[in-house]
Amino acid sequence: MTRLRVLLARMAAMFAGRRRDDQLSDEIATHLDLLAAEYRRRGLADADARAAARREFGGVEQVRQTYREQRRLPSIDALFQDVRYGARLLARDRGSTLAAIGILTLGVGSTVVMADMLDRLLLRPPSHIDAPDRVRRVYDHVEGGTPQAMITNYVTFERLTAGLTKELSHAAVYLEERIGYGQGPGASRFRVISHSAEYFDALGLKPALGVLPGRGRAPAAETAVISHALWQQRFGGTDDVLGRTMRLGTRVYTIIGVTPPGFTGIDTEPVDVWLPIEARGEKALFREWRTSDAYFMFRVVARLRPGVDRVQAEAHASTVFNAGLSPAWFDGKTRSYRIYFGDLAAARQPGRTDEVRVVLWIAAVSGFVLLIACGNVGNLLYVRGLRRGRELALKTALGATRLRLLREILTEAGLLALLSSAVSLMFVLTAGTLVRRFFLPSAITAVVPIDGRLVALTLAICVTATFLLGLLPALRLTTRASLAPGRAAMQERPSRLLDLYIALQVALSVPLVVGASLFALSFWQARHVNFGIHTSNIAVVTTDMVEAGAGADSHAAHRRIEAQLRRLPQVKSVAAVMLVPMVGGMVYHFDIPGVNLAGKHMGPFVNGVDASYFDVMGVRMIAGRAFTGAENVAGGRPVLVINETMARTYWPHESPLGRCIRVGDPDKPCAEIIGIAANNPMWPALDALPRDAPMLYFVPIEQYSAISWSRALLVRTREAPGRVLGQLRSQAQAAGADLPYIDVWAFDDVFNPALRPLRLGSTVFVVFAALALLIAGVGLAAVTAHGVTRRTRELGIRLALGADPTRLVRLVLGRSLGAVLGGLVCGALLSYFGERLIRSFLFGVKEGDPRLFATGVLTLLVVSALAAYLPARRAGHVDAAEALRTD
Amino acid sequence: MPPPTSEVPYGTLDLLVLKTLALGPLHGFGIARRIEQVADGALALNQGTIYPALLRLEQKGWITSEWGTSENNRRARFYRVTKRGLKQLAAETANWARTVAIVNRLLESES
Repeated sequence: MTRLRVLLARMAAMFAGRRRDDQLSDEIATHLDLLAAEYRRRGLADADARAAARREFGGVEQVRQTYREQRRLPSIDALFQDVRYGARLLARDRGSTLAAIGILTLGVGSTVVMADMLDRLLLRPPSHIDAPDRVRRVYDHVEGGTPQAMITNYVTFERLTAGLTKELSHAAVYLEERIGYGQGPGASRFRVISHSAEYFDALGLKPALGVLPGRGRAPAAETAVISHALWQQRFGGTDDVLGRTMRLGTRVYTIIGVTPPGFTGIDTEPVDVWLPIEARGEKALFREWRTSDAYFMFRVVARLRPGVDRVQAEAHASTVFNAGLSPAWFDGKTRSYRIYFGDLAAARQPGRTDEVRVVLWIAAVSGFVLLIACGNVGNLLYVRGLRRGRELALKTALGATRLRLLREILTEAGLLALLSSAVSLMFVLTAGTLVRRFFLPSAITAVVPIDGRLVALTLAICVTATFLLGLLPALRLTTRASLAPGRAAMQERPSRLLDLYIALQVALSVPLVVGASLFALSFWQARHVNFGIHTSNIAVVTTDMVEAGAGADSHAAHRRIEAQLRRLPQVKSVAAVMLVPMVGGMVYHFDIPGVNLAGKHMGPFVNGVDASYFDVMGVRMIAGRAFTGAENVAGGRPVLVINETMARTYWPHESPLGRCIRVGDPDKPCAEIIGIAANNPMWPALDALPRDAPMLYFVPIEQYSAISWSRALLVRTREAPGRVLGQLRSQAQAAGADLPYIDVWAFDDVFNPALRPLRLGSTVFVVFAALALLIAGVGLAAVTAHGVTRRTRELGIRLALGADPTRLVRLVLGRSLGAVLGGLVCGALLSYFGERLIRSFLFGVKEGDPRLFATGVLTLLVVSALAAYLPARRAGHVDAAEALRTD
Repeated sequence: MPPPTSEVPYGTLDLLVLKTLALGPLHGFGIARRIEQVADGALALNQGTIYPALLRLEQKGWITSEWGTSENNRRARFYRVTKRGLKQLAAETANWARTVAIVNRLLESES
């Protein structure tokens, strides 16, 4: 109890200030006076009395010291002292302090941002899902293939889940659609999930408002659930949204519930509306969707019962599936399937995707940058420590223990850590948001931007890094050898540790630069692959008249839009097609009189196009000609154009021109082949060769408009479509107030999924390489500057004795670059082995291409030379007199 | 020849100061003088060491202090024992007496 009271008293005294200490002085003065008075009474002279009083009293300073220590808490006092001193040191050396904070922020910040991206992509499940580890997406894996998210028909789904009731508590199917909302200029398109009864049960979601349909709470067919974002943006976030109706496409739905905030579905694109499949029914889906096993359109999600072992469940599911539920293949053979209950996130599906691997590599790279940054800050701290050598030696001579000095140095490092953490946090919050928006699919960015774990990670890394970096130099600086009295503060022997730091930074930077060039080159190559058709400066414009309930008007509507678009100056030409190339494919029944078709070949794809298609898309005619505008009318002369593969397959030894093909009904006239077009790939894979393209033939679109309502416009623009998409849409929408939402997008977006890993890799690598160069450059400059300062006296003497300044500069430079050279060699080796690891991502780059390595090494050499040269120049300008004065 | 002196143990000084103050409030000089008088030269005491002791006692709540004027018309701090201090003194004294009694008994028992 008494101890507690004493402790409290001492703590209180910490804040009380110096007043009590001053009062003590008064007390002591009085005491001494009284003593002296006594001695005077005994007969001593004044001066002697005072002396005697002093003697009897004892050491005043010691009393004061003891008193002070007793009054407060000396350990905390010492800490405050260290902190104040550390702060003063940091402020005095503003340049290197700011450099250290900046570098640490860059290194830590980029690492934490990457860790966050990884977390969102790989680790974090969609929010608001109950027990997310039990909610699984069903994948199927046919032998010889890769696991894919299962897409199946309703009948198979019902039979499969019927056999798995022991393992699954809920199972549901769903499909993604985009349905138009509104008409004319204000129209938009919503992302819709059409789902079966137990969808929300399987996810374990609780509504923010209203109810979510589920087993036992079957919704009326015309009800809808909207997302929280949609509720806020379109319905004002008011409670009376329940019971309101919304018109999607041709039908009207009543809103019965709102999903919780932050939940945007379980796929990559955020969902606006959830509708029961029954509501979509016959209009959008096929009438027999529930009873037929031919319509493969549904994805499957299920919830495992608690305690069920996932692997056993998968084995059982595979057995059930293979016992009569697996789809038949076109060659009649059955294949064995394996069923997986995989993670909800597509990024974490069994069998890693390219994108995930790139993200992992990026994480590794940012670890590199962090190492470089730490090495750099270690440099800076060590150099600062060296400058304090004399001061530390003095303190040791005055009696400071090694522990005390260490504490002082570590406090300074700790202050640096705190400052860096604060700045890093700000960096992470701002840069992180930008990075996420740039790189990640929109659904993932919609989630909460700030995470407590992120903050903790930032702080942890910053503090750990700074402490570790401060510790090593601190230990070295306070060894008995370096503090021995008489040893000059500036050590004559050049420091090996600094050389090591420099070499490390350079060695780590080389692979980054090389990697960046590899990725950038791959990306450039990928974007310039020749597919045999124009892919850039083309916009796709299309609208879904079926959704508006006026499917028959599709062709007419698109003609109207086409007329509108031709008026724009940015539009060079427009072509009308039934299907957008590389996006879809369809087949008609066809017959070639005189040719035996029994066969192994996949049915030829067909596309309806107009006369300008070949010109707009840059399709080269190998033989014959394309059809003319005159031929492209309903009832016009039956002609068509085939592609190279088709010509090769059916007429390997003769020209197909003049032959004819019967398309569609047998009573249609036989259409004459009037031209052979060069191949282009059917699907947007980067390594698809035109030579291997499947068979494809083109018919005049107006002659076949009765067969298919499908139509789209391909617009050739004068500049990159990205800039004119908005204008195209508003102009197209102006073609009629009755038109539903018109989709406009750039054609080469179709390559985005394939390009994304390369785009991601090259951007990030380039940014990190630049960072690494910057950081390493600053570090090298600091070390060289320190080297010059260290040798000031020597350089001054040499100059005074008539040495050539250039030679001195070269001397200093040579010292620094020696370490750099060592780093370059290690770096080149690292790059060589590193390239093997990323080879699978690269595209169009020759393995072990020496030019790229040379570029990397050279870049680093140039940057290092520059970084070292600027401070080294000072060596030639040392004032001799000044130099002799310093020591 | 001066009589043998001995250093005052740390804890005992506190006890002595308490006892001195129990007889009435005093300032630092007064307390030091009193203790020396009672010990009659058998104690070697650096008078300055009184002050840390007084601080300790004040922190423990056994004494309090206030400003006043000394004999030579100077400002001085006068210390006074508190109720808690008196209780402590009584306890310590009893303790001391008990210890002395035990030691005496031990010493006497060896004959």
